[in-house]
Amino acid sequence: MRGSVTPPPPWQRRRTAFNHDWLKNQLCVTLGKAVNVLSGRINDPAFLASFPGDVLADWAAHRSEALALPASFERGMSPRALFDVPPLSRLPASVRGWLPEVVHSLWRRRYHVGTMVDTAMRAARSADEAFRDLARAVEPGCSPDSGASRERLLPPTREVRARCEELARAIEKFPSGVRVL
Amino acid sequence: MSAPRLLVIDDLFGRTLPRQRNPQRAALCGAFLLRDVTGDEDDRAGRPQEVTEPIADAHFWRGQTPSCSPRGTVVENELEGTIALIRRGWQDRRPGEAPWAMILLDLCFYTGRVTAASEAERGEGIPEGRPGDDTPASYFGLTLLERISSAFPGLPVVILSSKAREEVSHRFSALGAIGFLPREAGGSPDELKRYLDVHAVTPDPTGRIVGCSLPLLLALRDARRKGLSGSHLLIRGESGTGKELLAHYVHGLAGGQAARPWVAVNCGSVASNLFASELFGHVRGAFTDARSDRAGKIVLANGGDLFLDEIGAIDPENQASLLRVLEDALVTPVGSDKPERVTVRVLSATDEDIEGRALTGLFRLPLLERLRSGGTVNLPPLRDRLDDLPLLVRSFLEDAEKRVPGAVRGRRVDPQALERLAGWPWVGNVRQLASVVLQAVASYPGADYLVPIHLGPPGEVGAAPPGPLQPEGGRSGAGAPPAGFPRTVDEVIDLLRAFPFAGLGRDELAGRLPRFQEAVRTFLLHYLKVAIAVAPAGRGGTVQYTPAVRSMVYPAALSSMQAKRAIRQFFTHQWVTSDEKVLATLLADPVIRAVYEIAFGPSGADLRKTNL
Repeated sequence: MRGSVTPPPPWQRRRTAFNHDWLKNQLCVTLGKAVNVLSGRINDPAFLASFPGDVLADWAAHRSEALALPASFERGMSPRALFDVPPLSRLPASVRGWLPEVVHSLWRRRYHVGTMVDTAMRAARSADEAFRDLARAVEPGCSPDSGASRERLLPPTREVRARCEELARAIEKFPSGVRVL
Repeated sequence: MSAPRLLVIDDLFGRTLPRQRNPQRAALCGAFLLRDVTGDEDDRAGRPQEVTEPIADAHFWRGQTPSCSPRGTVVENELEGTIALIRRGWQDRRPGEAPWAMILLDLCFYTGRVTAASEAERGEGIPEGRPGDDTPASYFGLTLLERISSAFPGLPVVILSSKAREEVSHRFSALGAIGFLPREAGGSPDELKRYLDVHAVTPDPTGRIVGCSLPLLLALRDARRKGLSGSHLLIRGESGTGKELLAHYVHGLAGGQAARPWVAVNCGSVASNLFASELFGHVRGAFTDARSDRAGKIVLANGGDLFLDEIGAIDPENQASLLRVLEDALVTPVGSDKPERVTVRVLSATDEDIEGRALTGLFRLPLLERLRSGGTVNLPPLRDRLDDLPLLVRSFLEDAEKRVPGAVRGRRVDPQALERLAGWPWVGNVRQLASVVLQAVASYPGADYLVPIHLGPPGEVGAAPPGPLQPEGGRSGAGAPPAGFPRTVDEVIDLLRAFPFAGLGRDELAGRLPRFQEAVRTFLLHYLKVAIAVAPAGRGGTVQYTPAVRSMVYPAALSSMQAKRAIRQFFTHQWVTSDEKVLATLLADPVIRAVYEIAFGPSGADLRKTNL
């Protein structure tokens, strides 16, 4: 066991799906394009016609995971879980009664888990707020490709992009596995 | 001027979708202001987005097979096919086509079967992945990077990934990637643009330096990397390779600071006793002809760039003065005691082995170190960038057709003419080529084509010397003369006859007169030795100088006294007497010494003809 890296736990797989496959690869890239379309550097009427509706819907579909993922990190990635499987599960009950909690506390303190989780939660809430501002910036009945509409949407879109990048960075800081040394 | 050509190797953005455009690819192009030039998408899928001012043209490649993977398909990584694609765009290009400027490379490539679950999670056509695909130690992107670095040194690679940088930072650094661009950084493509501006392998956007061969583009890239630091730079290259043009290119990198001064000095054309005044200036009365104050070239270049050509021609005393100025950043005009602070970048150039001269003490090493503190850029000779021949010929034809009155414009180039030109040694490099083309247009102003006969028949100016000109592969072996260097006496004679001296500008000749004189002196001595070797030996094997001198340039009726006088004239000419080291070097040769002692004594006895 010494020096080995455990297989990715379910939380890690969730993190890959959320942060790598969706947030960075798709949402952030789309928001980057949106900034350039709104500032006139790209001409794409089809994209403009569906913006920001598509990204708002995309965020709505992933919003709960954005908040749940950091909240579940401590439970999902604590080394306490190693005591549920062999060989640590074969420890005497008298040891298993206190050792997992000690290991958990040490891990929590050493890796500043509380701070990491708080930062990511704040980033998720901040991104959520930015999306609400973006939704409010859409004027009903106004043509999406009008200059006025683009001008109004550009600042909140920039803000949403910045907050999403911040969220991606915060989630990236979580460790990607439990190392046994 | 076309945008840089990027190759983006990525499983998500490189894949093709049936009946529709890849929306993730479009988003990436939109975020980083790239124009998709892959050409693998169906126009019936709708109008593509239009990037108003793309920072690069992007060619997308999945790095896997198949490129289009409907549900149920098994996707595999494709290493050899990817390397072959890279090679086609780097080494095996069509003439005149620019190479890949840079590669953007993903790290994680998912393989395996495409399922409904994998598509729901990652996107249409993306497989479920296999163990190891998502493990930093076995990222396919790093395998590709390792192969690219070894197969195509010089081709810049930037990692473009949504994976954590810290996971791979040591490995991608060790494998030669020049940077890491997080995928989520799009929308503000400034960082990608910075990579492109400094590290991309691209032609000169101004078009002043013509060519897109790899040796030239790598030299331009080297110049950018070193020139942007603002430090002094040394440019090395054979005569006629465009050192001053390159210095201008480096000067122009300052971009928004276009008003920065540019001053050029040819050190070979400035007399030693006037060098200090030329560079540092003088005050009125500092010397006889100093009738007014005059700012030196260094002061005129203050805040900008000073180009010093032919730095090998600076004599030791002036080298010391220049070194002091570079060390102290203070210039004191001749005759003044008031120094002036200056901020000048020096771009220096030479076609000599300046490092060798520094090692033998002929050039001050501390000065050389200062001049190359920002690095050395080597310009390739024309024979190493023959891929540029068509572009250069085209460019020089346009210039020549404007200069020659009545010349037909837009004449085409016969491929056989290019073939002929490609076989020449080009000792004079690009400048020689320009002269040859100018002469061709001047000689045949009304021709619609540039054809081989315009380049002169054998034996005349512009003709190629006979014999093999380049070893296989076009590169010289270690210690061998460079490719195209004359190897026989006939080749030397033909080269001297063919070299277009008439096409050289006044400034270039003036700057080279001292070394030209040295070369002619050396040639005359070899001529004398050859003549002595050919002349029949006298009684007892003595040196016969009279028939030797007679056979060189003098009439048949030349007497021995006249021959002796001719030899004395040679040895008392300032070509020899201007530097005492020259005579010492000459007399080290036993044949020359024998001739010298015949002409001057001491004993008047003839010496044996030896070592011929």
